[in-house]
Amino acid sequence: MEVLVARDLAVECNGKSIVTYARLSLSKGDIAILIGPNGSGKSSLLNALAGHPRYKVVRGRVLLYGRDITGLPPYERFRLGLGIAVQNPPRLKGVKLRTILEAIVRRRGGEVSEVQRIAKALSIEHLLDRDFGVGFSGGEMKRAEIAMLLAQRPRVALVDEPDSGVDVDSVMIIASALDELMKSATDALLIVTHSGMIAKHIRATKVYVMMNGRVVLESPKFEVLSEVLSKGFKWIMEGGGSGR
Amino acid sequence: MDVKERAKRALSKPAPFGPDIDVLHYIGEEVRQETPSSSVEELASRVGVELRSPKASALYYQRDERIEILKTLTSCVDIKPIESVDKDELEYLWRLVPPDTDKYVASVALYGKGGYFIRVRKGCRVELPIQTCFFMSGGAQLVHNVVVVEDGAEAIIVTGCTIMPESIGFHSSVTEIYLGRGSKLIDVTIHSWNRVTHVRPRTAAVLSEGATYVSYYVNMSRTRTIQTLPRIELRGDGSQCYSASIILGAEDSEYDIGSLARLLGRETRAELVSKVIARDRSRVVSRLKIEASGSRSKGFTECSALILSPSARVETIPELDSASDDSELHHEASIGRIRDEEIEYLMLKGFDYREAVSILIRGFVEVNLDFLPESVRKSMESVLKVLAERSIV
Repeated sequence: MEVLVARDLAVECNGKSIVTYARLSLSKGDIAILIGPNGSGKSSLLNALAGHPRYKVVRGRVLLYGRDITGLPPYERFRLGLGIAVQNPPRLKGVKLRTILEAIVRRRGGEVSEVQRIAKALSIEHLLDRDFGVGFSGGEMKRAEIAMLLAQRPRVALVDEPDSGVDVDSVMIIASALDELMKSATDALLIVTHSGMIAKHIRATKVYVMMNGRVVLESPKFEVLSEVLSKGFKWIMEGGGSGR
Repeated sequence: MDVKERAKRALSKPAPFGPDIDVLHYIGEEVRQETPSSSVEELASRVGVELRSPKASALYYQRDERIEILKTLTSCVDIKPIESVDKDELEYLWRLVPPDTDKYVASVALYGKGGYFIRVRKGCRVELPIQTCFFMSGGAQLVHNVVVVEDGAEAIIVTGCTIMPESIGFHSSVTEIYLGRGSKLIDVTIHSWNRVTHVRPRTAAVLSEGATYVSYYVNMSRTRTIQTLPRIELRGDGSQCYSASIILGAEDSEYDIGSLARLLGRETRAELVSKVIARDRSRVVSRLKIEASGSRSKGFTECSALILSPSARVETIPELDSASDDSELHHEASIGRIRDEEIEYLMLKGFDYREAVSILIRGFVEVNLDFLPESVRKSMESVLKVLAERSIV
């Protein structure tokens, strides 16, 4: 069953075309890796899927479990089970990490005591009563983002560069948390990665490659990822993989 | 010259700051509105005072000019109407706030009715708060309060001030606070007035050696005008104060609100914090000043403001004035707006626009509540949550 579909998507941000063509489809059990060079539109695509107000879908549809969510605001998508861990969260002065996590847990009817367990799993207990993002290291910020996914327990999770600017220990903690999500509440993950580091610790089922605003390759072969990482994106342009 | 004489001479003396109000216009105005008790209890509850089943060490409730509840539940706290002070207690009256300070103080000296005299006995640590409430049906409410916390004593006073909606009112209060050696007072004041009320609190506190004064002031609704500049005099060596003001300006409010700390003793400490939220067409001046003359004294002020509407205006005035070559004074000041990316981020985390803005405003007004006991802290957090929700444009 298809749980998340981006059908021939085009996305604009502040009137500028960012994604010109994106087609992807996640089924139950999928862990999809989305790679692409800097500025290829990966993060914009994820934001558009999540309903970020600044990323407008100007063509195509987004379907969640068959339901057209293209026009829904982000919080409605969230409530329908779509979660996102963003690449660069803003710092929120005065807003405690605990406050956000507790609100998310409460929203799905959970007990706020879960927050402590989630924080422990991601080694961020010491951050709970600090202002969100203020003075967090890169790895702490990423782990806090993943903690929000654990708090939400989304049916489908979008994870934007969980492995950028973090040490290997953080990547392993994050991979373990994503694994936990897949074993419990989540049907599919779409992970954007630049370095591919996260892919060493998580079992991907398919790979998408995005270049110049277009999804140019979809492959069930995990080797595509290692080929791209060793030969560069030029390999795709030269017909490597099975490009669209 | 006696108090009344001095006051008469100041009856047309304007305050140095804030809009000038014709005080006499409000005095003697008959209040026709009768307020059901249930409404009063509800309104008092919104400003942190429980009249029906108070968890308090003492309770004072004044409705317009009448004192309706006056009781103490511990021998550590004496509370009485200001008009009933003993002869030897008269020395505390008008010493810190002279009757000829300005027309608002003068009006209290000449026409005031009500207010309390509270004494917390030497060495007593009173854990439950002393709750006081000033409720107005309309017209003028002019009150004089004195608080004496004797050597080594500790207490919390929670004061709620409110008025019936749409009733025209003028509230002026004089509050004189004396802290003995090693004593501690936590002073929480929550105002919720209406769009046609003018408010002029006049407060001064003196701290003896080793005393601690902690003040929280919250104005959580539109008020036509407020002008106040409480003065905290840290006379005793090692005395310290923390003062936080959280102010919501809405509609056509005009506020001039601040604090002044005088570091007179050696090794005194003061931290003054002001958080202002301005929406609609409100005008807010926030002034924080620390004057230091005591050796090795330290002071810090933080003036922060959020402007939420294009027609709102905020002016922050942090001032440091030192006559001591080994004192350290610092200030921070900022005026800004909520950034779109913060709202958008929280919307991605499942919060709708109003919820996201409310969370961010609640974060903005975060101040150090660690001085408060758990029950008062919870009440304060509820008040700040309501303030955040009322701030949303």
